[in-house]
Amino acid sequence: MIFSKKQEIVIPYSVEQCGSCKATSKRKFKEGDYIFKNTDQCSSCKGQLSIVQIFGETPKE
Amino acid sequence: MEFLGINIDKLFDANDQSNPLMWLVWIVPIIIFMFYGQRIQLQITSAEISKSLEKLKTYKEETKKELVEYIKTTLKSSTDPSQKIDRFFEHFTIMPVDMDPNGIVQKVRHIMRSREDYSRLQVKALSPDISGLEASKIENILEVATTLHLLYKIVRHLFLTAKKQNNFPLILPLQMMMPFIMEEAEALKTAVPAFKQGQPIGDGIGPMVVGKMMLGTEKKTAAFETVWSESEYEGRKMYLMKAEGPAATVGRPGDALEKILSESKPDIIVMVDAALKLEGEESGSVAQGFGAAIGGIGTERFQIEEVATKHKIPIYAIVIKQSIKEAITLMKKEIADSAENVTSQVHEIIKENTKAGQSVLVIGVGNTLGVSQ
Repeated sequence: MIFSKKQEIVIPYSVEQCGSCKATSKRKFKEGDYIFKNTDQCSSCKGQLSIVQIFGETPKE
Repeated sequence: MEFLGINIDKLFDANDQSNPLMWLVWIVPIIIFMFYGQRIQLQITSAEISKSLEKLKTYKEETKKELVEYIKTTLKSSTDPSQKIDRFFEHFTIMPVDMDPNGIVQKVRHIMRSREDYSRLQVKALSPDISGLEASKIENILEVATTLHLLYKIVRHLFLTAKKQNNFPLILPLQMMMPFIMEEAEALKTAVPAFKQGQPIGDGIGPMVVGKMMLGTEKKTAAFETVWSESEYEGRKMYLMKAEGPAATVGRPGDALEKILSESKPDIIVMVDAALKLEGEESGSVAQGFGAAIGGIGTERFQIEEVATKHKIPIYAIVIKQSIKEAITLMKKEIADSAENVTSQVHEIIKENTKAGQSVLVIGVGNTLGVSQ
């Protein structure tokens, strides 16, 4: 149909930030993630990483 | 041109006013439309609504299927919860009599809380070992499925009544409302994956802003599923309050405010919440205002307004604009990115309206699914 809406695909991402060097990294959302959850150690400064954002983005065509 | 002895050119000669066939070609449709116009329109509109109704039915059934599957996999239950869920779909709530509106808010609150408690118990009864987080997710998906079920039943009722009565004017309001109903239904259906995976939704932006302020502070229970803590900002004491995350709950901010006020009296209250945007407004845009920024049926807002008025505490509001779909589905980047702007606006309000030594209560309003503190 001409006016039918395209099904929008939204991919969830989690953004992690290091508590000491403030470096951020974006990765795909994993089940069990939630905002302000402490995750791994920072690969550059060994600081504590925590999730600061979780959001959905539509991939650009 | 001749066909079977009839001159076709003459028969359809539009210039010939006396041609009876041409006269019929014009007059018959006019008569048909005069007497059957509404019925024809009713048929066309019915076909359109019927298509939407089918879509609504699919949404309702798919959501129910997803809920059943989710319960089965999460609770590792071998028994089919479908029957229990079907019974739950038919539950109704009778609102109190409003002929005498005096004291009606307390009555509505009592009924709504009894209903919430009952739903919570029903979900807990599915498995005694279920965690609070999982139970809250199931409660929310159940709410979505129940709303879709109700929407389908109401639309079907209006549609069938109009068809039964062969009444065109009766179907017109439904035709006008259908795009809005479908928008809401689509939003509800899209919300399910976010609830299942415990992802923050657009409505969680208020708890996200306040949750960040609460990091590293001692969290205390203020009311059912609601926490608060103390912090400091430029010489002002800050009381921070939000629903207890990362569960899918809005908490009880009204009760929590009463509890906090029984211990200490803040000089101002700042409420941060998501708000429905108008068409054309940008998602994630931030606006400031006055009054209690909180949605729902109105009982929490009433309680907050009453307590604030009694103690003469001004209420400032910050809202983050979004559509109904954005509010109940996985948080969009534009909304998540607005958190810093909101935090700086909260600080601005505090600096402009209080002096050092005074105190402020900041409330993050909304569903705190996927947002800790």
